Amino acid sequence: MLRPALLASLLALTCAAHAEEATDAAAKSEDPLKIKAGAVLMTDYIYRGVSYSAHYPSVGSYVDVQYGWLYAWTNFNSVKFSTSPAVEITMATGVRPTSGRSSSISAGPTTTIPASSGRSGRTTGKRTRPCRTS
Amino acid sequence: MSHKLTDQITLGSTLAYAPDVWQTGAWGGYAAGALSYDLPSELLPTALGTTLSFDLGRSWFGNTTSGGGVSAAGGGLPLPAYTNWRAGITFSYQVFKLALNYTHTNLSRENCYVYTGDLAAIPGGIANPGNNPFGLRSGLCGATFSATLGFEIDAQRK
Repeated sequence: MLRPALLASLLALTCAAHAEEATDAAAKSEDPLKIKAGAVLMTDYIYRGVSYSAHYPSVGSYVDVQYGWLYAWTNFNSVKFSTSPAVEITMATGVRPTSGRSSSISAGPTTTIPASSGRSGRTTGKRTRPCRTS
Repeated sequence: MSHKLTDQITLGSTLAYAPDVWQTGAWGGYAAGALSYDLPSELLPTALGTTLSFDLGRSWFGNTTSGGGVSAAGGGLPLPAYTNWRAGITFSYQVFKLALNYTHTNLSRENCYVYTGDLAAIPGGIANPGNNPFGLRSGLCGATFSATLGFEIDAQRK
């Protein structure tokens, strides 16, 4: 399991500084570094109701890294646009605070890159996805 | 943002803004709500989780610049605002998830072409001299049943 030496030192300092506070023992010892990775097969890559794979099957993979409130993730999806990009790459970073076990917010910019030009027949270059605030 | 109302019910919301949608020059906004319900584990086989979910979203846009398509009158092409929705069921077992979804939008086939610029669009629809003079129609935005099968590995020790 990933546990950098610096992380262990930071945890020790945090526990010493707040020793007099009544805190949950499990929360204090929780590793702030979280890493998730996954892959998915899709019969159709649908984003906000629109097929990004022209109703063909698609494959995707992603990595999500979070340290405390800070996060960064990237994913790769096969797409089928009229301009024939090989893959769509999305990257995001931001903050993701959690309130207890019931609430969480994530906010930060997101950008999406096709491997070649963007929307068919009208533009070239990078396609940008909306900046997500959750 | 997500918030668990109860152990089984979770509410979610999304608010997004893009200064340049698909490099058309048009800004875009998106707002959505989501509701999910985790079926009680007593009703299911051991270690199998099942979640019902529903999303509803609204997208709206400004006008494209000349690089993103120009209307017949010039001055930019207003991309069509639209509503999308999804209903689905997800089965979870250890690191695996199988999701079955129904998605749809309220875009007409003609407006779907205006929004996506789908080069595979076919003529024969209702012509709009302002943004679709040949009545081209795209099927990328219609009702769709889809399935996804994936796995996720969580490296944090619990």
